[in-house]
Amino acid sequence: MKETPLSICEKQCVIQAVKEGQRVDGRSLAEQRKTCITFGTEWGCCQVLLGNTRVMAQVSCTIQVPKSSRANEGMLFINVEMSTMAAEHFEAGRLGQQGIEVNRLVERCIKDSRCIDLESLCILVEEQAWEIRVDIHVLNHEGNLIDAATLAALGALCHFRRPDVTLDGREVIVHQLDERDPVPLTILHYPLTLSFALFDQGKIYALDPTNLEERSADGKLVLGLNAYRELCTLQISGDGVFIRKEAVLSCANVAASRAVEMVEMLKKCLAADAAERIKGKYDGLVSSVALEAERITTQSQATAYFKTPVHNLEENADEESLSVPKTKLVKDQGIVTLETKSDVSSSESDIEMEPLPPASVVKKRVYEEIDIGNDSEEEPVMLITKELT
Amino acid sequence: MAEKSFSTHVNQIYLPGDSVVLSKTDENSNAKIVLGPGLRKYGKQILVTKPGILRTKSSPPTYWIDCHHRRYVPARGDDVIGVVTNKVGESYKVYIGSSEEASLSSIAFPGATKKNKPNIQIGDLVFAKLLIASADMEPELVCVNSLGENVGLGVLSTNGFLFTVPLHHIRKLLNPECTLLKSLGKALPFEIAVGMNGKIWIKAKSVKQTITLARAISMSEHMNKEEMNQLCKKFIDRQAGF
Amino acid sequence: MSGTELLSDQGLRIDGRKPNELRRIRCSLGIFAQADGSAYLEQGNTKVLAAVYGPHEIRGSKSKALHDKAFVNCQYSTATFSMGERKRRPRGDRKSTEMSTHLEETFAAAIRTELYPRSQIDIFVEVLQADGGNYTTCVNAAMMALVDAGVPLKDTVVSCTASLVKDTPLVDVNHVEQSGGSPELVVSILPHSGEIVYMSLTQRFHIDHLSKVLDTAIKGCKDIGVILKEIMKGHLTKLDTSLQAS
Repeated sequence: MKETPLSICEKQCVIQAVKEGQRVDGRSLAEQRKTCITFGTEWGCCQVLLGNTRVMAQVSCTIQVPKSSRANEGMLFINVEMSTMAAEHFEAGRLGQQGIEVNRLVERCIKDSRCIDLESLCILVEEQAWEIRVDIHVLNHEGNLIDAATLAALGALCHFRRPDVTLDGREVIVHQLDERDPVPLTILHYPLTLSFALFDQGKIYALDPTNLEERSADGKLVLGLNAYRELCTLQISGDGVFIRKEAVLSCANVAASRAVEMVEMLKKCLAADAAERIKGKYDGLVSSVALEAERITTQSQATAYFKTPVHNLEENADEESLSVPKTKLVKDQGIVTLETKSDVSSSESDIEMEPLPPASVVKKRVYEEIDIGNDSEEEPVMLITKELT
Repeated sequence: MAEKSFSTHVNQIYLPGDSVVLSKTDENSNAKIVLGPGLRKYGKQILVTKPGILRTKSSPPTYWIDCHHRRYVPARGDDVIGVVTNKVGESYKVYIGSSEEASLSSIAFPGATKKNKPNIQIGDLVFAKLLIASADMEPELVCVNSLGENVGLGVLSTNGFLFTVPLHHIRKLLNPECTLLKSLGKALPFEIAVGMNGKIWIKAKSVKQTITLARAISMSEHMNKEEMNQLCKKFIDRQAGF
Repeated sequence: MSGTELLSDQGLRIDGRKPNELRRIRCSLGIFAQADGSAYLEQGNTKVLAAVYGPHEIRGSKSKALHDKAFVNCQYSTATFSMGERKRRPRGDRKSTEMSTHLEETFAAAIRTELYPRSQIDIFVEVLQADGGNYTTCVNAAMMALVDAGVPLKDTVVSCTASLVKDTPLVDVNHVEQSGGSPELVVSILPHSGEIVYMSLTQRFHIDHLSKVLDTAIKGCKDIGVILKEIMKGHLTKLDTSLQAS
């Protein structure tokens, strides 16, 4: 299937809005969409919801013979699956160009930056080592697959527990999960990616683009960063992008502070999940479905979404439920730079980790009493006469 | 089943396979009863084919199922917004979200002749009416009425914003009883084209206003009348006060 | 490998270069008779062949045709004998497809594609010997081939790598330095305006070093650009004198 064509009108509107510092869904240029991280009942299962983009990652492990060039290390494989379920234009089976790009970027961010200690995965040098496989499935594509995929992979790796192994001489005994507690992987640092869509010859950049913004942009800048402000990977791509060095550096600064917050949020979600497991009552991914029920908007929810534009920040007093990172647009030599000073409590609102909320909180769908007069009859209308009765 | 009063049937949820009972007056009258989308005559029964709420209208007696869906199936007489994807010979191929791309002849515009054709680019938006929309042929669009007059159809300016909304929301917006668009118009003047294929094109004075209006419209999908009025009131206050 | 082996105390690298020294560049244009444009480029020990066909009719599915631009198609292939161990699949694996996509995007930005709607420009690149900086040599070779073919370009595209060892930025890294664990920053720029068309980073370093390494890479690109321009001028002068003689 082909992708729905992009009209000139939509593209122009996105570009015009971005030039004025606003985005089509009401966010500011340095604002991310609402992020929800949930974990499944299996160890190593993580689902990330970035706005409407939904990605799920699952980690599994087997014992294999290590590579001859690295005989004392385990192996890590990352595989991305994009089926037609996520978007109409994805090919089933084969990864298209976009899929390969996502796969390579996740690999570079997580595997090449050596965030997992592979030497600890070795059991017997040159004979047996753990092979860790991360399978990432894109479930719904609404822009920014790379960030969602990396976050899901990282969350899954942090969540994963492998079976414990003891060496008895040269014999390897793999303990079952009920014999001995499984062992977590050794994570050295937490690398995440942050994507920017580039507009106007690289002078304007928007964090966490939606599908429409990605398609209208000149190009994309993907930065992989960890909590220590180290750059793990960087890529500028796009067939119309010309960006200046100063723009790259300012993007990197914005991304660095945002990465620190995202890592904090991930760690909080992991801790909350661990607490739930200890208590015993565990819903897994079902809890994320309950979150969906809240998303059916009625007026009260609309209050939170319907924020005032960037330059009227004083009005945000009545919308504290969703704090906005305060940004200041600074135009300097034609380059719009953003100085963000995000709220400390912003990470609080991103976490949606409570199990099924009490029934009163879930908004009930209200059926419209509005009678529809001239309906569009999609099917040929059938006339019935008295013979029926 | 015939003993149940009719009022319990209308505005109730029906699932595919359920059978519908008509009101006593309609059963007894000789007039033709119209069955709309979602209903099918099967022998002597009327069966429901789409899940939704049963609605009725009195003249002519019409019954239909109000279903929530997003995929558009072309129907003759609908006004739709399409994206021009290709120019083939004398006509344009327009994408309207249906299973096949529709064709729009380049002389189906007001005041167009073979020598004087409008200048349409690939990627432009057109607001057109479906002339032919049957299951066996590719849909055909026109931008004029049968007398060749201008009825408000044609190419839409690229200065607006196009967004997608589920089809049941479109029907709600176009209902004469729905006051959302009128109330929003009191706050901000805007130009709007609502396509029955789920696409809405909107244009206000500035890009910021256009985007806020678009978001307000898509947000009102699950609101009832009071909530919509509150939304408009909030909107008007914001625009007036700040 | 520790940093001491990559950069000695006297400030010399493994192959004896100074940190800001480029490898030797040798190039010849117009080597294939069939292709519209072709080039052979050597950067140190990395040897790359590039061939350009086009603009010509779209091959394969007509649905790929863009109504207002030419469609750039690149194929990045590494010969099976190019590395130490025999490479089983020259093309079609994930890394090659990723490289092909990046080449396509780089050149789609540089070529004036709006002059040839509904047509296709093919760029084929074959790495004969891989000794670090494969992508950059491919970009430079493909650019020379495009100039040889006479395809109109907005500006020439030049590419270079840079790395960071013990807080010293190195330019034009080779395979040993790359696999030694030090980060590698690949940059493609348009030399006249200094704007970046493509950039990618592997491994990691602290964000404060980014500016330094990026500057080194951009300077390396500009230096390579000067060398390649000389080669281009030489080639075009040779063509020119042969016309005048007759």
